Amino acid sequence: MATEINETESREGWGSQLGLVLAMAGNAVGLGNFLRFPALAAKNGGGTFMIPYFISLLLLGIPLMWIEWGVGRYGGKFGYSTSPGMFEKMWNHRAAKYLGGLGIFIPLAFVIYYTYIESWTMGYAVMSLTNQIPSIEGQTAQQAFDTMGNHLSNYLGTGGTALLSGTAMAVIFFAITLAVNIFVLSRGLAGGIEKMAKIGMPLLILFAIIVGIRVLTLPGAMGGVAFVWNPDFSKITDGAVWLAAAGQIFFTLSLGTGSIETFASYVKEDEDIVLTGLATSSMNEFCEVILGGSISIPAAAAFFGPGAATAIAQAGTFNLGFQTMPAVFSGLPGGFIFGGLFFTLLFFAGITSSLALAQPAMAFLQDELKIKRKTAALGIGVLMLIAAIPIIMFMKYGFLDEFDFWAGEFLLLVFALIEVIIFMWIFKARRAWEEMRKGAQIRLPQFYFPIMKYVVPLLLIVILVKGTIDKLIPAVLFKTWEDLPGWSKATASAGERLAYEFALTGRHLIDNTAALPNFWYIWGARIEMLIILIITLVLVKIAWKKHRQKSEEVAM
Amino acid sequence: MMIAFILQSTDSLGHPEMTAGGWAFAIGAWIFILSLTIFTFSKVLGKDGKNR
Repeated sequence: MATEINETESREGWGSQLGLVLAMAGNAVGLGNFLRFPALAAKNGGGTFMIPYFISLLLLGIPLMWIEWGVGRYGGKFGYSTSPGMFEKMWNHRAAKYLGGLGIFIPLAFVIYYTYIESWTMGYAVMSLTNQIPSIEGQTAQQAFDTMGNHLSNYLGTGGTALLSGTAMAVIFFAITLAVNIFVLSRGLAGGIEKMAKIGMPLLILFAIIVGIRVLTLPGAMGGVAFVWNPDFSKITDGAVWLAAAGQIFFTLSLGTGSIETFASYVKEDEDIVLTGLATSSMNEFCEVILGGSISIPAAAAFFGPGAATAIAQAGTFNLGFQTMPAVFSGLPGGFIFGGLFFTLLFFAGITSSLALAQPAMAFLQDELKIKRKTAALGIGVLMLIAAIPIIMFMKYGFLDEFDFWAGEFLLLVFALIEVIIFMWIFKARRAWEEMRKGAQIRLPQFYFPIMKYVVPLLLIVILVKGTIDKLIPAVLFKTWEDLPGWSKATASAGERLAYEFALTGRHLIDNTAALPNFWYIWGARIEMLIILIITLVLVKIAWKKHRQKSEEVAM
Repeated sequence: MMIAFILQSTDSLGHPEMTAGGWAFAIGAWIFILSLTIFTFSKVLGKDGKNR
């Protein structure tokens, strides 16, 4: 039996529609807009990448965004701010609330490691503005990469032979970043998150425009722009390029995290979610394609030459952000100011996302367990701090990567698929459609009905299956096993692999200078995530027990 | 190491220039996104204005 929260109980709300759109856009705009997108575009056909990219935006991103807004506003009508209650209102089944628990667990697990990465941007902004980034004067491109690589590894404490990662500096910046997040969360939705978005988003855009103009006026920058935009039509028939585009659209809009539903639950029933969803998506695209496409890769190409830009694009997001870009700014006259602005804009992109990711857990504690806002914020802060310690200390053994794979990638797709099935199939597509259209000033085009019902779940399944084959199977079966000369983890039996890991562990116990195999760290990360999931589900159970007791009291 | 290898192997490529196709895709994408952003934000700001 579905339980309901008393609608008259006061819930938080947005101060203005602009604040809501900026907060939603802040949720979507993250580090990926400035670091992942341009490298992905350059690698996947330049201008031609935009064809599958925009088609994915229209067929997957925008409709799924509307679905998440629809789910959130529908749940909010009954006083629910998080997906356990929302799912239960749409699917009267005892499993619904537990499936909805994923919408609290995923963003919580995500925000724990994301805040750590966000703290690097603060650290680098401060180091840039105080001229603490090493000089690369007179160095070749490769030496400059190495200098910045060593600097990053010294900052994170991942280099050298030290057993644990994490330096005092990285930990201090993490503590400050966490404290800022918790302070803003404790100020509430309108007084904290919305206010931060109203300050952070315009500043982010302003700083990006300043840095973008500086980059585009560098000699050779147009070579980098050409690298991002010149079309390579041979890629258009490559299925992997289409999947990369669909994946980028999914992740850039922060879909599947549960945070859009929570933000949307605070809007009034007659608010236009079609317009606000579209405004959020378009602002994210503005930050990604126009601003993101004009900074990092063009800067890298201008500074290191287009040949290096190819290598940089292939080297990944972190290398681009924390190795290549500091090298670029270090070599520019007045580069410390532009570097400071660049990392500050990344910090704003990061914090507006981390606040959104923490909000489902906040809302659950406040609305379902009736915990006061400041206490809830403090509780989440303590949990994040404790949970982040192993991520910081064991980063060099793949602890953070493991969190990123499950909470930042795989489970997002799973959650989005569950949500679409519940909303469009169990709740029924016609009702869902009417729900989304309520209060809409701009008409929801009719052709989106079959897209939402058939195309969106199908695309999610394709991305999920591809991801499963490419990453999940190697991650679960083989990732933790080491290769030995003449011995392959792919062909060895499970028993042989396990025996090998235990043998390495035994060696570590006897000789503590021998490394403990990554096996234990990777499983440690998985067990930590499992503990957080179990805590979340137990809290969902407790909350529902309370609701039931309350409804029985009212009935009596 | 990989970066060093690619740097050596691709430095001879020279600086590419924007082709007509590159300009067409870049300008097309910019116009599409800017139009969508301006359209949606004018509506959002209009609604906020009315609510006041």
